[in-house]
Amino acid sequence: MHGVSIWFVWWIKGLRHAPYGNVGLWVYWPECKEQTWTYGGGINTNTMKMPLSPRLSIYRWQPGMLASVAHRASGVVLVLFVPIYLYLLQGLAGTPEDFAAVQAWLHAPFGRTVLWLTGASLIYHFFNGIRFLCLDAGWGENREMMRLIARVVVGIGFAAVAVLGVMLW
Amino acid sequence: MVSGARYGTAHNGLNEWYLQRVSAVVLAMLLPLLFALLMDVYSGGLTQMELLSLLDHFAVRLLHTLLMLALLTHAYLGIRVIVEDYVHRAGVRIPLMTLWLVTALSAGIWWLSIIWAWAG
Repeated sequence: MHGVSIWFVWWIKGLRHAPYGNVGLWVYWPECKEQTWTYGGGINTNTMKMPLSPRLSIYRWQPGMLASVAHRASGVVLVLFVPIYLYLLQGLAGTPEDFAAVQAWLHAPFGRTVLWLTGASLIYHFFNGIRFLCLDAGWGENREMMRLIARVVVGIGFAAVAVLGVMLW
Repeated sequence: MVSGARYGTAHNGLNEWYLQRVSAVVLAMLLPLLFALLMDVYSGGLTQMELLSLLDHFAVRLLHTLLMLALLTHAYLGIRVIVEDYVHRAGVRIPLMTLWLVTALSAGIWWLSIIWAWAG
């Protein structure tokens, strides 16, 4: 029964929209402190499992959800670029031959594709990150603004893909 | 930092949440500069000597180090949020995050060695 009531509060209070799942649950419902649970199932399987925030197969797709998932995807792309960046930086700061080799690598089709992907990811991650900071500051939290801003940010992402594609080819 | 309230799933306050935002603001200010620099190098607007004389500036090295710290902090916390959401088995998640921490630290050491090479 207790599990059902946690779901109920989670749904009614709109906590399903919270970016980090259960942050704020205690603010709205201090009694839940008596319930021990782990986030998404930890070592102790006896405890209740709270719903994870990105339940992609359960929620209806919304602009905000698309923007958030794309933020994660672009973040992973940017992390993967870090070792490539360090390798390129080492070459750029090396001998003139190294510099020329890095320039040749960058201008080859593979290098251009890498720059295209990471450049678009960076621009998207930048603008969606500003969106997240605004939401953290409590700005634009009503439903219409959430959807509008998410659409704008995703639009900026597509525009970045198009513009960088034209610039690189 | 923001550790008074027992917020969060680990009940250890808002430190990491806050650090992710602070590093995001630092990155939002510094990464566009690096992006513009790389674009300039790519398009041939900067020769190697011009690039090196820029990177050799003490202020540029300092900002580059700040960017490195903010980026690795942000990347560590961001990947952790993703892993905690999708990897449910503690026996997989904890080794994975340990590996990621060590990898990020190694990248930081490599990065530092490039930034401060030939500093004098």
